[in-house]
Amino acid sequence: MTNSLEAVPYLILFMTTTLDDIKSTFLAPFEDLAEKVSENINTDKLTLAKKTALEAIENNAFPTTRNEEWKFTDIKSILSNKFDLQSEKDSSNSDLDLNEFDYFLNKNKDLNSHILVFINGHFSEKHSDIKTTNDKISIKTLSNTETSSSTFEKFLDKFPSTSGKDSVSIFSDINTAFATDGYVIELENNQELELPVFVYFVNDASQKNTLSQLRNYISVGENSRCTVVENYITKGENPNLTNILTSVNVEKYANVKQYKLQIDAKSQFQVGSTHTKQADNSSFTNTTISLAGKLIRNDLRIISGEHCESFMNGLYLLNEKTHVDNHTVIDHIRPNSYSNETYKGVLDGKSRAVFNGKIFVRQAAQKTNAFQSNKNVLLSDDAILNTKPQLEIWADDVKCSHGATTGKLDEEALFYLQARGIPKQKAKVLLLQAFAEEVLDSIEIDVLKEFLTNEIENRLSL
Amino acid sequence: MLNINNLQASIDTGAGAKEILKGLNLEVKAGEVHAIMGPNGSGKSTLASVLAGREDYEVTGGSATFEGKDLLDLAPEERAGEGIFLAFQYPIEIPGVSNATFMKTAVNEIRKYKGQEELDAVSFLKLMKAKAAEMELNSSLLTRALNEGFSGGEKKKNEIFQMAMLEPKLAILDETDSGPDIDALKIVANGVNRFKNKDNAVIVVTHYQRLLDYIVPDFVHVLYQGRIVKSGTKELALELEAKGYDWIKEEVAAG
Repeated sequence: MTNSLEAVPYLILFMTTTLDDIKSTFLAPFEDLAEKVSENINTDKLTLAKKTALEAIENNAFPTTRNEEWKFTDIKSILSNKFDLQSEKDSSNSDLDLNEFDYFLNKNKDLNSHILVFINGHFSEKHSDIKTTNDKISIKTLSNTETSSSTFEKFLDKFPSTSGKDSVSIFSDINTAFATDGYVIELENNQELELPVFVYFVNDASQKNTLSQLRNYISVGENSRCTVVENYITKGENPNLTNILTSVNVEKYANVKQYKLQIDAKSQFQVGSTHTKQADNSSFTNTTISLAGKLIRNDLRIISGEHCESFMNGLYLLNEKTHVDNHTVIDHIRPNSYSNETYKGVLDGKSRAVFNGKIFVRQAAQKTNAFQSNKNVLLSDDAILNTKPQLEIWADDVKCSHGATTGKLDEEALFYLQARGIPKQKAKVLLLQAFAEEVLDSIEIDVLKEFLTNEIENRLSL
Repeated sequence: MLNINNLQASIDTGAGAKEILKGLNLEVKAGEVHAIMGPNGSGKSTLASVLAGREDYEVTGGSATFEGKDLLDLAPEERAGEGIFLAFQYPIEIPGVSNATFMKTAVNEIRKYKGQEELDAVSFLKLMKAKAAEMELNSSLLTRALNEGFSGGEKKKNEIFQMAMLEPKLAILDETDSGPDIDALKIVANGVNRFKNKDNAVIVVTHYQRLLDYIVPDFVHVLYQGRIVKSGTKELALELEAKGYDWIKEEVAAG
């Protein structure tokens, strides 16, 4: 008893100091910006929100693995880097040739889409291609919107979880206080954005440790629809971090599809969250594909109204020391809705994947149908998977199911294919492709589907 | 074609190795149909699996050569390339891989192995349609995932369809009669009869005589306790059908 009492204070003191050190190292580049925010005497909502976020940053620590939500994802490897904030001037003048990147999908001229390019957190008009739409549809950037402040406000009110006391993590507050740019897509009622919007977030980490902070908004009016594809590209080998937050407002009878492709860089850290609010009778689909990165944390949160459909599709195919953590929450607050979540993973090398899927069914949400599945194949003894379904159901008349499986490749199936003359390595690829197919099948953009199918085949064949 | 000499094989049961084949001899020549019968647990399926190269079994002694090549040295896919085909007792369901894609990959991998040119999509499709019709295999099964949700009879027909597509030199049918109804059984038997010619051979592994009404064997062997204890012609199968296996067991016990 006496012993432990003596020991504890030293331990706490020691740990606090270390965490504070890390925090101040990480936050050092923001000092000037923080000063500007705190000296701003404006009292508009945006400024106030930024000030609140600053306070939150000061008062809160970065999560450690003792935090339940970050139990399996240790972010020390992110925080121990000294990142550079790059000014708009450095970035938008960049003479990067996007065609030199393997994952600039619009190289393929069959892909007809709007193109938005952000380099190191700043919009690059030169690289972008926003096609003409009618005036009820707007594709803009946060830095360019005349109404930047009002956009921000509109969304802050609707999405309390994106900052302040309810924010998911200190990263959201950092984003609120310091985000430099992002896309803003708004559709009025009864509009269809025919072409998908392909957004490229490029980190040029060839000279410096780059940090990009992006804040995006998708707002789709009643009976309207749009598709947005977020791509992440890194140039160079330096550590680089993208801290990104996207809010999606889906009005009644609207349909939004959002893709997140994390397929490029082994040197990229990424902390990102998507917060979606669905009005009654709307449909939302998020498809997250993760094939490469150093450490990626995705938070997906959906609040669903009545008669809504929500689809959460995920595929992670990891090797080496890649760490991917998918946290999802679907919150059914009104009756008669449907949600379906399918996350699949293939882990090789010393990679690690974390899946945490929460389903909330509130008392009012009777007749909810909620399904969740997380299936994994481990190709290596050194790969680690942590999967945790979490169902909290207050309503009594619902259909909910969840299942998680983890195993090696089916030896019987492998032998069957081999016995038909198919070499073992090829048989493996065939089986893994078949495993991934369920997620790839849900992709509705043909060029994208074909690209990912080939990309996955190539990676598996290595 | 196939020479098996004093073959011994065991399986790791987790509680030590269990010997299943205890010195098995068999010779199969081109143009012949051999039936291997025997009571449950005598090692019939083990023999089929060992010949196809299933890794669960360890060959502890003896030899098996196929057209002069040491079979035991080859990976399962190489054995298939050499012309050995195993019709599985329990064909595996593989969701996500369509029957057609699987078949095209298999046909072309075997062609590659033999140093032949791969079939293009058109020729492959033509071949597949012809063989499916021959096997009375519903063409909707070709576009479905491999064996997924197939009935017992459909699975067995699909095995024989694969055999017809791959045109092996030696087909080993492992308990192909287990499961399917009489109609499916007849279709399977017809397929095998259409397949066999003077240049290839068939080994029918079965517990019951009923398949042998349709696929008439040149030789019948009784496998018991890991050895072939009796060989004869098709009359032996009829005798086993009438009298069961007890008299064989007694003969063996009496030495």
